[in-house]
Amino acid sequence: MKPRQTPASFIATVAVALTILFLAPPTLRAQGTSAVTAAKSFLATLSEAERAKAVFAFIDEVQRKKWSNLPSGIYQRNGLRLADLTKAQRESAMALLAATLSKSGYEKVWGIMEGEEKLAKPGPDSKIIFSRDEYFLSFLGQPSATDPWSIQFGGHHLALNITLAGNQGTLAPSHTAAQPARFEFEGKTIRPLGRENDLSFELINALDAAQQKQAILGAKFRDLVLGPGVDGKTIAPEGVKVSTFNEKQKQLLLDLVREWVGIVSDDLAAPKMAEVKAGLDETWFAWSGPTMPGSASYFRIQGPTVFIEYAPQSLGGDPTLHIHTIYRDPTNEYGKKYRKP
Amino acid sequence: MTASARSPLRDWPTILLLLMAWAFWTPQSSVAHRLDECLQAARIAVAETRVEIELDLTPGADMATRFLALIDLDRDGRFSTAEGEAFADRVKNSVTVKLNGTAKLLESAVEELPPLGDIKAGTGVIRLRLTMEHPALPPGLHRVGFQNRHLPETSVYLANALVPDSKHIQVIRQHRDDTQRDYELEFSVK
Repeated sequence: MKPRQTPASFIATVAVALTILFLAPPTLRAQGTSAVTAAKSFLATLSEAERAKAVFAFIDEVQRKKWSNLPSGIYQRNGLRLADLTKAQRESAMALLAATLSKSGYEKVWGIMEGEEKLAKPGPDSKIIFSRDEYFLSFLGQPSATDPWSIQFGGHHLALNITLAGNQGTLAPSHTAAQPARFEFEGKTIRPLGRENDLSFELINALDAAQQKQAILGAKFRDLVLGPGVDGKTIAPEGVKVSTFNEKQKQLLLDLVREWVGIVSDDLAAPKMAEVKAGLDETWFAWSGPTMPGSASYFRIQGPTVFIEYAPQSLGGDPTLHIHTIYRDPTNEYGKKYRKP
Repeated sequence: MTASARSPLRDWPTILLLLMAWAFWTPQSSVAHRLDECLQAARIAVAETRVEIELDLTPGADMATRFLALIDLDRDGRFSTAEGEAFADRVKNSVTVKLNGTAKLLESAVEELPPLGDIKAGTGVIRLRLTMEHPALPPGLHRVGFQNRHLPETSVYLANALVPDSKHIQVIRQHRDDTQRDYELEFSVK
């Protein structure tokens, strides 16, 4: 005869289950749900007029593509501006970001925004605004646990275009940039794109001479090829093929890709990283510039489902302090896989 | 050693510290985008009987006056279709496209002409299309050469091949000079 569970052990089992369910870190819960909840909470703080400014139809293709690297004053974004929100609304907006992004992704975004405070303020005749508060939040569609919807968050040097559909999500295309790319904050050195930079030099210097010769393109790349405004294009891959990499080199490349893919929460990033890993043999790594760490060098990673560029900007001043990057997924830009035909 | 006889070089640690402090605490250059340069980004598409070059020109805000003079020929503050076409023609005459070493006739077209205000702000992207028609190429290796001589003193260039639409065409290699003004694409036809 099978022994029966005692009441005490039954209660203990239920208690453990409830503890795991409610105290588990967000990664053990469907993050899409968490972002939905946070988005709904944010929208609930808004007046009807504010909501009308923030929420666009999911099929609004004009708004979908309304993003840029440029600062306010020369580029007008739609949505709600952080500077115009009340304290409670702003906290709710940042809670939405925290629910959608990973810890490192949130820190990267914070660093990019905080860097604005280090830029010299434009003269009184200029309309340009550099400020940590000059970032805009908008939505395409209503937050939903089942239907696709998008979060747009951006300003100068930042454009996150995150499309969520149930437990799936993508941040393609998104733009991260930094100027200054290195600054001091409360005694600490902040490098919003520092890991990207460090890993890239580690990778190029981990290649052997033959691989480096293939990877290094014989021309200066002074800007992104598929940056903001250049949607829907696929350039011919070049550089060195990752199929020639050993395991250490492949891991370095994956760690580098994760600096973009991992901007979103871990449970959204994990399947994307698996997808990138599965396509490694058809992925290419290209480089332009010196291989000495600290140099102003460009690189590109291009695979079947990922396209990343990192381009120092030579606009006067130190190009290593002004970086533009782009993240794309040619198979799922703006979450097209989640959208009904 | 008295203060007056003290060499200033002895103060180099202080000087270095002051320089480092200046570097970190001085507000960084706020040049957020190109001002006195024009970004010319070319995307080269090879098809079975045509070479198409998408050429995006983004003049910086400080070049606006020059570009407005180049395009708005009648100075009425608007870009007409004819003016756009004339500008495209002008750019076409500044580039050379060769197929297997032979320059061919190019057609130019304006895909997009931004509002005047965007050009003045340095955010306008002028999109042109340059097309070369040619007879079907035999199987084997071929090459397209593209040289851009439009505004060389004040431009930054990018030149990249697009993945061909045709499965019979494969990009083999891309060569660029350091500035990307001179570009060559090697491709194969099956």
